[in-house]
Amino acid sequence: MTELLDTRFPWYEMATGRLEIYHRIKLWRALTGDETFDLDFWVTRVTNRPRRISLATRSGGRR
Amino acid sequence: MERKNLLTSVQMAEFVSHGALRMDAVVPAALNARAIDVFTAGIASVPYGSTVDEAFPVGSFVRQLIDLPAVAGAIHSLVGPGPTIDHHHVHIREPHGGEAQPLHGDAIIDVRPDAFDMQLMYYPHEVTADMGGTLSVPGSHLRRTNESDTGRYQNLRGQTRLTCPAVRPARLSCCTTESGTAAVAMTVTFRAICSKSVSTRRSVRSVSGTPTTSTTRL
Repeated sequence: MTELLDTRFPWYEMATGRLEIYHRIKLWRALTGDETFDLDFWVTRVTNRPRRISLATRSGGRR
Repeated sequence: MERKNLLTSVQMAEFVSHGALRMDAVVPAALNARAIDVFTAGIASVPYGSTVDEAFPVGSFVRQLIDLPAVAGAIHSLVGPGPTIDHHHVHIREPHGGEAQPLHGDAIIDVRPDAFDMQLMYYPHEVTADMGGTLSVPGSHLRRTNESDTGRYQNLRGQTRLTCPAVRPARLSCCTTESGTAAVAMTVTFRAICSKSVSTRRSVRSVSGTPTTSTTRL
């Protein structure tokens, strides 16, 4: 399943083809309701909130 | 909806990665035989947002088409129960008809993100390469282009032309970039509205046959 969802096509540019994979992950999550599904952590890394930034947000921007 | 008619999880993954799903020989010959006369007579247009019942009353040709178990199961798997109709159109290409339609994402002048569209393409007869065959670019369905933004490009690597024997396939696509249509075909676009306050239920079959139902919020 993962292999199928990670299919690349010949017209994809080397880097921007990753955007297609990113959007596929989002579509798969929407269709299945599985909010944890990911491929190579593409969505995880974009939605990741490092602890240092989270703390800064909670304290109104001050660290 | 019977579980056996729903898409399998592998078919769903194929749709998500390629942007289309081909379903060969799912329409009975008797229905195909009526298609050309029905299309020639014309199918009334309907306002955007019409329900299936409003657009295609029970007993009508299109309703019989979309109520076929395999077709109904696929529609249910992708947009859930009670989708609305965005638009439909019968495409006819005459022999030596001249210029082909440029590449385009179909009907995506509406780029609001709170809906999910799925288009059914139905070919009632054999389509050969000489007839044109609908050109599509697999994997292009999630690229946010607007209408014919891609019309200037030609012969993209990996593009395909849909040809089929006289077994009459139906094809489901999700805004895949495409152009042209062979001889006679009908498209119907279904829409599921998915806002934060409206949930859409979709069902799929897992590969092992165990049903999975999820409530999705977009």
